[in-house]
Amino acid sequence: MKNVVLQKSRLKMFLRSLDKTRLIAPVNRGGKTRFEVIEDINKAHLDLDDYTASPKGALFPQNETLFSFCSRDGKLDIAPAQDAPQTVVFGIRPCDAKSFVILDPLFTGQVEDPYYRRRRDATLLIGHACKAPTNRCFCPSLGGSPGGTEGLDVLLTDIGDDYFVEIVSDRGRALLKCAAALFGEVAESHASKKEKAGRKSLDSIRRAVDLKLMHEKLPKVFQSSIWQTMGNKCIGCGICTYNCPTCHCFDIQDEGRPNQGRRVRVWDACMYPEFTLHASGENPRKDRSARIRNRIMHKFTYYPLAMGHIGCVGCGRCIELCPVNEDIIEILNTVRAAHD
Amino acid sequence: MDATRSLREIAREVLSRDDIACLIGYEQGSYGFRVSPCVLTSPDEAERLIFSPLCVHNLTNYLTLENIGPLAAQDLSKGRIAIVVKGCDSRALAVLLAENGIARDRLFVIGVCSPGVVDLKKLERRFPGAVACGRVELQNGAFFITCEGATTSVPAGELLSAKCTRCKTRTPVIYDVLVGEPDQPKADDYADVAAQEATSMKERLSKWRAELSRCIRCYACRNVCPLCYCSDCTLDRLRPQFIRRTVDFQENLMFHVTRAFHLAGRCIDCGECERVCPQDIPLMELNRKLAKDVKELFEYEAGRDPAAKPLFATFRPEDPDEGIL
Repeated sequence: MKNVVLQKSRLKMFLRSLDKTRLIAPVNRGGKTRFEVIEDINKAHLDLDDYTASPKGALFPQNETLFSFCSRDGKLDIAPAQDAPQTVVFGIRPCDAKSFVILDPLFTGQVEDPYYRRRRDATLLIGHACKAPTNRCFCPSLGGSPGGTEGLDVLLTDIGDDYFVEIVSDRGRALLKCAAALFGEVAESHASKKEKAGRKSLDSIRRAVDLKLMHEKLPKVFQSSIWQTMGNKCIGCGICTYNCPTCHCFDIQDEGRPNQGRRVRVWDACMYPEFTLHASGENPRKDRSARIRNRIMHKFTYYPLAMGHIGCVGCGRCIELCPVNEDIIEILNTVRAAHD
Repeated sequence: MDATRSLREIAREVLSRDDIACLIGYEQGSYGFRVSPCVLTSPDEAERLIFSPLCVHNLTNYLTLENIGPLAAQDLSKGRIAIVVKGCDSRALAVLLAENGIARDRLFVIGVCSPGVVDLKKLERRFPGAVACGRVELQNGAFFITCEGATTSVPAGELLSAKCTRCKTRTPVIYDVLVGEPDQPKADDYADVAAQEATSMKERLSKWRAELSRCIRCYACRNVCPLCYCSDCTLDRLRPQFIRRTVDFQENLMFHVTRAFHLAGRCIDCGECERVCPQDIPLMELNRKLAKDVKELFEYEAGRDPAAKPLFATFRPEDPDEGIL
């Protein structure tokens, strides 16, 4: 099966054809889009005109029960985490799909995380090319593009009355084969429309940052006063980390009573003082300037050296949502200027 | 003279004095309509200052945030902190001073009579995609918005921040120097609270279940609040753990109700919590309801009278409630 086209009016039929598979797709909650498990396809927000939500939680949920326990009459019962059901995540932006490629070596590399691994293996990712990148998007600086396919199994591009359906992986091909009758053949006009749409989106991205040798430049400005300037205005909240598709730090806690409860994994944020607080009361990252520096260096120095990927996809959510205009593009440009 | 020019002039003078360590104000942000808080230390930097309806932040938050470079305790010996405040921001200052959160003699307050700031989310939806720095001015009931080379006028009501539409204290209640034309404070009728009071408890629960289920517990609302400044916050505590780290409706409800009650009689309606919420949770509805209750029960409004004691440090012998006295 080669690339195909899908009439827009048939999109719901295609998604319904996945009935044996759990579907995660964007839904509108009070004006905000979130990726949630879809029971009724009519409740999904398939217009995909909103870029707020990252699908990170589909593979790395904010709350995750690792196991639950119950002790009765001296007997301890431990119930393991539930198996990951076969899942399709629909409507992912190319930048967010790339974030899973960045997270993979961390969770499935040297030390394998069985919870992530199970979910990753059971999940297919259907992407949606960006029609209208925003003023905070800079994915080309990170090697991405509004029509990028890295990390996806299938990519849909809006070409007017149809979607151009690009088959990226064998798993994606197998998925589409099950509903082959719904798709049409690609004509030359479809291909040229797709190319035109991709170029238009790419050309509309106006923000950029030069990341050449950034992983080497950052350690050289470790002691610079630029971090103090950024730390001064940072309010130390978790907006940048929690909305980031590649931030992956977590905490593990036991919740419940001593004889009954569960062990949970929850997102954590390096911008919180508690993140590095030692039991002794000592905190090696004493202030917000040290925390911002760590966040930037983790993404652009430590992570690339350890995992082979820059920990950023250029989605710009941190830029858009920061309450005090901490702008990662500006920060990196300042680093470059301070070094050069 | 416009507010920006006046501010720069004041800043140049103030920053050349020996008794001032730094000035907290606003400067042009990195793109589009964004403005950034800044900390200036030298008179040469005065030209960076700006003031416009894009100056949405309540800068008094920086007086209580831990470890702010030049504001850190060890540096305060160098002198006072100059700070730019709008009417609402100055009310936060009044509460901080009344609670001994900061001492008056450590501050030099530059008050600005602000005719109102924009709702940034509405503005950016209306003018999406601006990368070059935009400008906004408020004149004769309309915002004049300059964006990517073109200027458009929009009736003020369409883009004004909700807190500004109900504001009764445009003129700062505390200042050492004032920019702009002062006016008389007016009485707050809490008309905005009536709508939620008209709904049943059941409706309210279902509304807040939907709203608070979205909360991701980034704590931006807490961190941006100038009056949420406990050095040891119950949310960060593990032993005892009052609020679990699991993010769900129950725990989120506990968090937001706790926070709202800690702000009862203290919230000054700067709306920062609601502005910064990445999930657009209408947090000010909770705060406004409690402010109205406090007004009705105790005839008290936080931060409107700089000479007033904190609500919970006051009592009246003729109080009709038996209470704990």
